[in-house]
Amino acid sequence: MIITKDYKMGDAILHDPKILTVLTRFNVKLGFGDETIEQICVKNNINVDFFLELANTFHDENYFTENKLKSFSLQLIVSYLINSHKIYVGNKIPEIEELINTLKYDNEQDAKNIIVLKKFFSGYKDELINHIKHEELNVYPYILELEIGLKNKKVSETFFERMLVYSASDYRDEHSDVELKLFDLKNIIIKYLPPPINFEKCNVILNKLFKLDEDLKNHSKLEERILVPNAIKIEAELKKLKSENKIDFI
Amino acid sequence: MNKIKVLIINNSYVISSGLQNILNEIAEITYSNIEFNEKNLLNDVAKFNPELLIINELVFKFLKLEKQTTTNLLIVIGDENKESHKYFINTLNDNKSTVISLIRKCITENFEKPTKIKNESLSSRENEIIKYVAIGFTNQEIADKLFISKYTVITHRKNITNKLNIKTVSGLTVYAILNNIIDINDVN
Ligand SMILES: [Fe+2]
Ligand SMILES: [Fe+2]
Repeated sequence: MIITKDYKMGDAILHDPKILTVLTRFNVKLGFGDETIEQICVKNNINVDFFLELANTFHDENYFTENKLKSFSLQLIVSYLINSHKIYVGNKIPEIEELINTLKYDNEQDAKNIIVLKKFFSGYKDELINHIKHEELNVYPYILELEIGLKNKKVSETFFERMLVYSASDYRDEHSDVELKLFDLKNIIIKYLPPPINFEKCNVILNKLFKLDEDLKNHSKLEERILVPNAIKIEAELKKLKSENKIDFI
Repeated sequence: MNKIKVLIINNSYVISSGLQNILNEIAEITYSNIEFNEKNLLNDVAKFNPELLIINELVFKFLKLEKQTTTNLLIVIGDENKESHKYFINTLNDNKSTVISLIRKCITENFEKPTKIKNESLSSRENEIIKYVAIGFTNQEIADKLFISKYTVITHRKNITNKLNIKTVSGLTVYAILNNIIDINDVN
């Protein structure tokens, strides 16, 4: 099913709760009544087409129309990515952390299992936070400046120099795989962790890990297949403008 | 486990999504789907570097002209089998289980299954190695400790990773503690 703007928002979410995941990135509250996706988006100042592209991407893993997504401004995409980061660090990770803390064994000897699990997860968390910090402090600002530079046909000399040294393609090449540890964690819980007395909590944790994993994969897809190619295109255009002397340096 | 990379080259949405539906049920593979575009095809194929191509007669003829049919493993789809293809899916008549067993046959005949390791539990040497890895020793340090070459250590580590399906060092550390191979106090 392809989600379109005249669907009722409530029905769309009932049909596929993953759409709710996208909505949370735009800080939209529930209580939609009978309003359509378009109405809700307009009310909340959301670009309808952008929302639909993301909703469809989450809804169906085979739906990923790079061309359409590439037509949105980088500003729009970056602010969505930053909102996603906030939700990973502010909600998803703490939720899982809390659940791990509730695991219990009835003997002293097995108590170490929880300690080691916690340690592993906090290692994963640090890795994710570093990844996000690097993007928000270095990569995204650079990409946004590219977009502004092209729009105004004006860049600073230092920025241009930097562009020649560090390109968006370098970011893609070194874009680290934050999913490896997540994969291991799922595997460990499924195969190797002795079941605690409240083992049903492990199922909840696993479900959350699977969802987080899928979410992160969509996130990386946006970064690698939309953000980076767009940025590389702008880099080339800026270089061309410079060679034709059609750009101002400040 | 390394998954087998499959590339579907097809313009028909109906056929592609049908194929994807079926491929989703075969755990050993991962697939991508592209449209047939004469200009870019060879580039695209090189980019995806697939181990198995699923194509129709049209793409097959094109690849044959480009002398690519000998280097790639192929499954051809179509409504009648004109060239006698080794692996052929009839899009009009084959039902789901026929298609799945054909793909499975193709996989078993051409790829050895890395998942089927007879003994999934670690050998005593591997247990020894994982102990040092978990504590944080480098390959060289482990080699010196056990009087074996660094390359032997690397081979052991590969086997451990394959058997346990754990990819990170900290994941191995967790495994080692859970299985009492090391004590939690051994790691800082
Ligand atoms: Fe990110
Ligand atoms: Fe990222």
